[in-house]
Amino acid sequence: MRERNEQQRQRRLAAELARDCDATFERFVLAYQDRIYAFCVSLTKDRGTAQEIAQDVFVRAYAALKTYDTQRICELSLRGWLYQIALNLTKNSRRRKRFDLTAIDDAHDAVSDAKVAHEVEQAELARTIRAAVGRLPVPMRAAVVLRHLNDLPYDEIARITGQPEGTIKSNVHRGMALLRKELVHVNI
Amino acid sequence: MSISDRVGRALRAVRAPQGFADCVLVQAGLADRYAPIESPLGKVFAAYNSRGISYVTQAKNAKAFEREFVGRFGRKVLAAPGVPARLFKKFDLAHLSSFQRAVLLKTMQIPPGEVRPYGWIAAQIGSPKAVRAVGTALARNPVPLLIPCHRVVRGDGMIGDYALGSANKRRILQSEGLRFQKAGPGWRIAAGT
Repeated sequence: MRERNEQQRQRRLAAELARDCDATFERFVLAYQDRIYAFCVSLTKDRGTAQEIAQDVFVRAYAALKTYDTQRICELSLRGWLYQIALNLTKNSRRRKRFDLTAIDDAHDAVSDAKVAHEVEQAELARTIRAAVGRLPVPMRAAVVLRHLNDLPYDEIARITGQPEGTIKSNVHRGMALLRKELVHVNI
Repeated sequence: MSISDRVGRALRAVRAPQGFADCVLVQAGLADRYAPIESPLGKVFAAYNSRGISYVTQAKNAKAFEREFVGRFGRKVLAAPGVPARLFKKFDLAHLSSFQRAVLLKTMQIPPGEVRPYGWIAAQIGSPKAVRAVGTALARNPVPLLIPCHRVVRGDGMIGDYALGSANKRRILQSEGLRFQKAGPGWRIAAGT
């Protein structure tokens, strides 16, 4: 149901982008900025680099949209397209720079201001989980994040990463098994 | 809650930083930034983007400037702490015609404390008969003060029109050392300046 709603939302947004790209673009950014940024944080493990790449994702998307005809824009799967750009930019960026592989700088997530003890505990748990995700090998990490950040279907992840669906399934399952093992001590 | 749900929730808790979309809009050229700057007329507002300064004008306050900018350019303008110093000699004239750009670029060559007639600009850019069009291009200068259209005056020495008003034109030229004498309802450059 949620996936069907998302598909409808994408189609509507794509149609509006095709009609008036400049007027719709801000809404497009606001719709996907959190997910794309979170994806980039997971891959780069550095919020500054992630912000740079995530912004570049949208700037490149805009430049591309300006060259596409109406039909091509309407046919775009916006979400998958953005993840694909993000993945490519991250790969290129990784070639240029070796990311810090020790920890994700998690100073400012959505619940970092939580005052209630339970929320603080939940925020701490979320940080632990993200750090564990960050220690997964990159192909496994990308698959796990795409699968669980947005509940993307395997075939869509396969299209985004350019890998066979079987490989994606295997990477997600192996990644989750590693996470289970690593997080056993935090009592999930 | 399953580990899959936990992982999903932990990943979704990450939010893009404040102002993320604004930065994207500026980088994509769909919005400019602006800040107040000091000038011979006191505080004025200047908008800028990656190409350079895009607009300078007087406004009652920031909101009035934003309204005016959006009305003129049809894109957003976002407040910034200041205008980067490296941009002060760069201008976004991309939306102007080649004639308007030629007029403004020639105007930039007039040194402070000097003036030139409209006809001089017209001749210099190879359109000696387009004196009136030069006046129109200068009146629409999006970056007055920084591109010194105030240094272009009428051929008879009268001060002429100005995008920010002729009284302001006189004030700016006086701040650059020129003197004026009253001539009927207007002002003329004083002899010897």
